[in-house]
Amino acid sequence: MKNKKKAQMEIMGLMVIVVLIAISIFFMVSFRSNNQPTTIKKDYSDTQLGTNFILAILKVDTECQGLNIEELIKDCATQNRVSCSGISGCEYLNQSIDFLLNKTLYNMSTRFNFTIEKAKIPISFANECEMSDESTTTGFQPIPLYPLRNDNAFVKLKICKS
Amino acid sequence: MIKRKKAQVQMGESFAIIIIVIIMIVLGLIFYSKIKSEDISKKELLFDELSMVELAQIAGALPEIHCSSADVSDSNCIDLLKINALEEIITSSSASGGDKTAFYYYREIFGRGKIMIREIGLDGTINEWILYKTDNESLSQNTIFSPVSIYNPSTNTKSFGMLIITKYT
Repeated sequence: MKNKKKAQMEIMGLMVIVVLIAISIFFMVSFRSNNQPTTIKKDYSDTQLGTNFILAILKVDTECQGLNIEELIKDCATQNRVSCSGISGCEYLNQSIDFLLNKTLYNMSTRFNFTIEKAKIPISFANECEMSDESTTTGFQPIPLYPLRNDNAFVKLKICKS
Repeated sequence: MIKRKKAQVQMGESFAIIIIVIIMIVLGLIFYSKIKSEDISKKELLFDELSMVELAQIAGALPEIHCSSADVSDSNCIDLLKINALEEIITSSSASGGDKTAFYYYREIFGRGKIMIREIGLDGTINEWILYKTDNESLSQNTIFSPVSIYNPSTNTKSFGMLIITKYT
């Protein structure tokens, strides 16, 4: 009787060890699977797009009276006097930005939201990205409207997480 | 007789325990090596991405193509004439029979990959320059796009461009 009890106790001991090992393996595997994959390249790429896109687009020289995009934005946010080939400066600005976005961010299937605030007509383009969505980066550039207005127009480009 | 049986049973018990322990150690080693190799693959991916970012930063900061005025470099702007000149130098250097000094110099910096500049004109024209390219293209590649301003000194105008950096892995 004593021997039977002893054998049962030994087997119980072995089972406890096996169960402990199984639990520790389970915890190890679950902690490892929580590790997020690296996103260094994606984050850097989105940051470059968000910040440099606005800087580059503002300097683009157009065929509209030799003005660049930044100057057209200033006119569009103040007097809207510029006219290019029968259309207003604001319309020309809208078409130019739409064209550049089509050739770049839309083509790359980037989720973005581009807006120019204070323009006389709404200039806003988005690709599956709302202002409330989580973003990787947001480029932001104020454009002073002085001396025509004591105010700034704002160009914003938000790159949303994909 | 009973004592012999008892001794045999105890020996059998010890033997069984040793076998079980050895099996558990072997399983543990196999499991550990699988986890370690997964770790190493993740580290490899991480280093690939870091070297990609490093290449993008070097290419974006090349003084050979940056716009400059009175020896002051303009950020986020590249000079069209300098692009043409650098493309010419690297292309002629990489051609067979040419002096490969310039190509080797840039290969030390860029490694296996491609550096391209694409100009997007508002009139719909698209121009491309391949500044640097290695022959052995690979199916696996990483690409980073960086918007830049392209300045044409001949007409004193700026257009929109993309610096496209591709690294072959």
